[in-house]
Amino acid sequence: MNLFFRQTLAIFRKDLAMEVREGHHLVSIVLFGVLLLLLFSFALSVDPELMRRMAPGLLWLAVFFTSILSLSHAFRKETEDGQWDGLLLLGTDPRALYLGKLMTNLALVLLFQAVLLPMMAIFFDQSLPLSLGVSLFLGSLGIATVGTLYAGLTASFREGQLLLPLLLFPMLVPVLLCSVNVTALALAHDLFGQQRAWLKLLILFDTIFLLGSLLFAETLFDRS
Amino acid sequence: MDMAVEMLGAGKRYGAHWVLSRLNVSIRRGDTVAIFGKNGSGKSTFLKMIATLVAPSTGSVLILGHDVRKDKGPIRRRIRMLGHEKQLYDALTARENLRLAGDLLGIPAPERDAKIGHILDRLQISRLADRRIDELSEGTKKRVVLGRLILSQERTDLLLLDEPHPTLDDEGRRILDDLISEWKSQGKTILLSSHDHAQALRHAHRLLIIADGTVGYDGAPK
Repeated sequence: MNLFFRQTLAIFRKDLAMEVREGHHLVSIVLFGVLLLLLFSFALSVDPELMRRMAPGLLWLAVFFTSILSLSHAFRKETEDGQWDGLLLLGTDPRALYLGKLMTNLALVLLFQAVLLPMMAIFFDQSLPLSLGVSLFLGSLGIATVGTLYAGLTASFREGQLLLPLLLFPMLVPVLLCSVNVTALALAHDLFGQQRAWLKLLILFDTIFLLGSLLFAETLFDRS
Repeated sequence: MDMAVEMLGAGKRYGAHWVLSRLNVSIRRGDTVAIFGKNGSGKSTFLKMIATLVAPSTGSVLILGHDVRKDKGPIRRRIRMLGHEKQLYDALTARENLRLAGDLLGIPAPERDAKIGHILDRLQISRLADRRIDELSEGTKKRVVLGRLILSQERTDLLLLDEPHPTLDDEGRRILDDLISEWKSQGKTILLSSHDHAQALRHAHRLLIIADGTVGYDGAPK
């Protein structure tokens, strides 16, 4: 296997193993997301129709906040005892490091979605069509792509955890906007076929973010 | 002459403060050089600059014929550094940490596992290999770090050892001294920074003293 892909997979496997072993951290984040959705549903419970219409936006807000918590943790274990330098000194391509981390973060955002989506269906009285899967995947990819780059960028700053959401949110506005619209249309069974245009836009943003992040990762993840 | 390290007017500045300046150093391939200096004299920055982890602010630095600013990849594939930081993952076992290093170096899986088995035996930590790093003593952790150096030694031309002795137990020190002798006999270039002068001079035939951010003495140990 090509060394670049072997390095990418090695980083992904390492991160996934560590996330599983430190499962209490993941459980806390997921519980936080569920609690957020529950609070949103309480706040809007006076108007059930409004609550149903707001459900896609509130789902993506919950996904955004849980992802932030997870992303800010993603690089902490690389800066505790010089691990990041260690990876570079073993000849790891900075882009392989970025891609490996991206794969882990995408897996985690999808995991959060898998828990939060049924919770949203229960709290906001929604049925879940199968077509929702595509929008959830593409939205999660957008969050993971930019999120991984910015999490790596802010990891060495003292106030990096505070800085990350401030930097990330403006960048993610297009992805969140598309994801909310695609999700809303999918939940409404897309009677007029409008979902496709939003999906194309989402794919465009994901592609631009992925290529741009790969381009910058070589410089930003090298750290010297 | 084939050079491992060539520095010409190299320096490193953090803000307005020059940590290192006016460095003119040439080290031939196969040499073993001891680097002495007080705490904060810039020894670690000097080694990190050679390791491509710190970019020089001025001057030129060539490592194994490659420019540290342009050719980091080829340099990193042929150097190893043992520094103050262990660079291990606490949540992984000793064996998993070594496997990760093997994968990143591109060693085929069967060869990697066989090598790791031998290394763990040599370092006398086979029975601890499947324990998490955060369950091991400091001395054992340092042996795992040594294991990572051994795993890649065939591909290594230049070894940077930054005060490797203090955190090792007696047996660990003996193993490290054996390794340094082995690497010397294989013609590898070794830069050894240490506060234990006697220990370092047992291996080195050249001494470099860094004082006030520059080379204060460069020559044979007296």
